[in-house]
Amino acid sequence: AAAARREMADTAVDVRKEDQKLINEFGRLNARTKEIRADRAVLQKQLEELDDATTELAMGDGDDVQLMLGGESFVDVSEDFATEHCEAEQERVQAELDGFDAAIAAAEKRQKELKKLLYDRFGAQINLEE
Amino acid sequence: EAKGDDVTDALDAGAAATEDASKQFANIRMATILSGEKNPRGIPYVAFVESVEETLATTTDGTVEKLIGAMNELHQKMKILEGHKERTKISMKQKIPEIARTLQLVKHLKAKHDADETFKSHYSLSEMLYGRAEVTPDGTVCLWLGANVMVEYPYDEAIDILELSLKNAKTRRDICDADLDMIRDQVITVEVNMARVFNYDVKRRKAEGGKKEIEA
Repeated sequence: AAAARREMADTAVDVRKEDQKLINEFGRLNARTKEIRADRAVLQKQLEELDDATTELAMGDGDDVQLMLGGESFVDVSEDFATEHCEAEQERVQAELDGFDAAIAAAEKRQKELKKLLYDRFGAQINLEE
Repeated sequence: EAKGDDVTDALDAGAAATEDASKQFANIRMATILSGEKNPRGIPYVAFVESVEETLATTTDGTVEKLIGAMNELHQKMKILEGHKERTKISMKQKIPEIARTLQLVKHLKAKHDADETFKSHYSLSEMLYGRAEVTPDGTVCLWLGANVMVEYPYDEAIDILELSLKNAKTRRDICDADLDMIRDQVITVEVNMARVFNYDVKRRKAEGGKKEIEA
């Protein structure tokens, strides 16, 4: 192992400032993608709950509809009001999800480019896998 | 009116006051491992090591131990700051939907008030207990400002305050994002710097070892 390290130090390609920039960018994209995926999972669950709610509303007979507002109170509303509210929320959440998906796709594309550049230059010296 | 101004002033000042991180890095033993520049929150930029040899020459005794020691200390301080920013960001991310939901409720109250309607609701008496009430919106709400302080406001003022609060929370979250990106760049740069100094040292020892063999 010591011999392998010595050999590596001998043949090591030096890190230039521009390489450091690429390495940093890769790290940043990694961190950002991780966070977006976590946020996306939360939002996906919200969308499923909204879908359930609109289904229930459609199936119900229109009585006793309560909308949760403020996170703690349940307010009596008409079926129409509740349906409108839920549908607006669904649109909003879906748009946000689409934004997340676009961001993840862009990040993954750039990471693929960076991997090629960095592996081309450093080969086995660098490890960019999870 | 006067009360409202005090609160909005305090909220505004809170958003304008940005933390200054410079003090935390004031004691870094080796000034040369920092570039000398800082970001808007006072977090220092790490100097990229162009040549390990040149950087070693700037240290007090030219030893790799001293240099790596100083870089390690810088790395630790950066990681601590990173943790702090991550926690602040999580806190803001929780606050934002809370404020948004409160805004929603106040707007609902206002709408009902303007339409001269009452509404029925199950409201939370305690964590597990809900009471039924008929709410007659009377034009004001009480906002809990924290520190055992609750203040009554007309709807429009309450909405203004909540919207300012929401804006501030989003700004603080965005600042955390920018700082985290920057800090992570610095952390990775220090780690690569340290690896290169270490590799340089390994190479140098091997070369000296080789020379000694030839002499012997």
